[in-house]
Amino acid sequence: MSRRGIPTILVVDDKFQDARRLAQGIGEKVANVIPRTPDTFTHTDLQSADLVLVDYELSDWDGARAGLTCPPNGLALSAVIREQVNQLPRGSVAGVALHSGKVEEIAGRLPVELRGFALARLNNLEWIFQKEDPNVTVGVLSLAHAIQHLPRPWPENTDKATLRLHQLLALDPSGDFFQTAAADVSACHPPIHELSESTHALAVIRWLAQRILPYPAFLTDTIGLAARLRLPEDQLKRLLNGSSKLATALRGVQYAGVLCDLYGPHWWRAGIDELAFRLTAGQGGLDRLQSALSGLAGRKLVFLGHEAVPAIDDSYRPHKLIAAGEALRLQPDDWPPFAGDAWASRELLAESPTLRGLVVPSDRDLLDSDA
Amino acid sequence: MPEGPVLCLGVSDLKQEIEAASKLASGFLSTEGQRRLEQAQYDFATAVAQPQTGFIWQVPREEPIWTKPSRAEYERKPGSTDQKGRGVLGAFSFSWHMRTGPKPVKEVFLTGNATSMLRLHDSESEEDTALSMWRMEVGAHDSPGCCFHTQVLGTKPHPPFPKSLPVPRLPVFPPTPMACLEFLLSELFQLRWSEEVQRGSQPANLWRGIQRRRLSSFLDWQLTTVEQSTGSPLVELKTFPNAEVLMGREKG
Repeated sequence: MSRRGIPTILVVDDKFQDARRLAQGIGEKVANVIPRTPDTFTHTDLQSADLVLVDYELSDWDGARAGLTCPPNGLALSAVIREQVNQLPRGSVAGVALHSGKVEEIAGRLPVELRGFALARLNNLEWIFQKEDPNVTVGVLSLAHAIQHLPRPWPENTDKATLRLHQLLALDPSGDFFQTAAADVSACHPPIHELSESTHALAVIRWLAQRILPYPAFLTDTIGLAARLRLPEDQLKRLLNGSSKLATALRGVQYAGVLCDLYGPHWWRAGIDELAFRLTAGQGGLDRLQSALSGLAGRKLVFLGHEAVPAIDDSYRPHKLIAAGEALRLQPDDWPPFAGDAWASRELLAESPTLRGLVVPSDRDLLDSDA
Repeated sequence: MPEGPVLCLGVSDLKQEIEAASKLASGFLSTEGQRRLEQAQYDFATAVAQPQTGFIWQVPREEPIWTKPSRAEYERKPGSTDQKGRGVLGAFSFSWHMRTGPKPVKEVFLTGNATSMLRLHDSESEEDTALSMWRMEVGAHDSPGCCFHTQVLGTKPHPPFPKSLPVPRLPVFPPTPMACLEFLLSELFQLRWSEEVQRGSQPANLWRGIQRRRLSSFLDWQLTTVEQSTGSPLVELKTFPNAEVLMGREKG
């Protein structure tokens, strides 16, 4: 547990060289990385770690053949490590994540896009990193930083717990959209009370990683932002990479709290709405908003000619914008009840019996209608 | 703020009203309609976070909240399974000019135009022409007619009901945007809407409580006005109500 400076990451791999390689990939300047094999890590290592990163495939160490009670893979070892962490003196907090190139062995039919958070949630882990992901070191660091910044102990007082949550989320109380954003956060049932106390506040990290970032709630991802602004996604990305006043304004409402690098960029929904309110001087109106956005962008933006929603496909992740009139709402498994709707195109629903079965009951009468 | 008395409404009441309406109306609206209603909810929350600021809360006429088609449900009687009749879509839009109170914002004030437009369209027709249209409005303190009134058509120069002739202003209940939406849904889906709001669900309970308080307050004012009238009670009901008539506070 590193309270100041850089986080500490314990990497457990049956192949020591692989652990070393990952440690080098993360970089000594940004984290204190301890590479270990499953039979060499110690209580001291666990006590100093913010995050324990466990390889899934553990066949190349003596313990793998030492008997039925020895963990045969990283998933089992993670459970052992979790319990070892729980036995550490009060105040020690370490998250446990899996790092694997063979996630499909435990993923079953779960789409690749869901594995990081959904599979982790099913297996009592903070996250599952896939070795082939080019951003894996950024994600590992982001998770380790988040755990490092958890208050110890988590405050029991509700007001203080809320304040600490806002600090973790980098939600500025003096900001223009604080009030609305705070209400939005509260509506997403953050586990900041008895649950966080008993789980050393890791529950907050899991809530953010597994229930907030992957879904449209008080934060929205790039495609959600494109839908809100009615901009084609590629145009929005170009704009975000630029230096216009609009890019600056959007950066002002971009999420910059813990885990901001774990699952792509996100924006405060309340921040976007407040920006739209400000740009139209409270008068609203699509024309007024689009004119103001073009003005800030310094060029005439080409907006979508229709209201758009991010549509999911068979991976259950939003993959493109479609016209709202062409979409129906779905209820995928595990979609949080506090999150915004999941949408799919009628066209895709016509082809996919699986997705058809997920259409919300009150929209089923629209499946075959023109309405 | 305009000169003279203005009506005020509770922020919490309006927030809860649209939250409940959004859930209750979900099964009666098109997917676009649901999304637009949801955005209206966010827009209101954003606006009332800014103290002492003027704003327009609206769902624009060009992108209204569309209902699902009603196939003769607008005249169905209990026990009837008759599905014959013209398929009708409702289109609901509104524009309310308001100003927020001081921080912390607990009240908003109606400072100008407050109108909701309700249109009915043939669900099978390609044409965009409305079958009917009416507006439910809140008048200013010095406007003629009842403060809460309905006008038929009145947006075009030609008869019937040309723009130049703003009568009749038919008396109506306090037409908050969500109350107007309920009116539209209860007209188009006579039985189903009634069943939806009779349920013991959380949004139905919330909705009932808000509407009961607001209507009780309004009817109390009407009753008092009638009982204390010195001229014709009908004419005196056209006077501007007290500023807090829509606050709908619990009776002590």
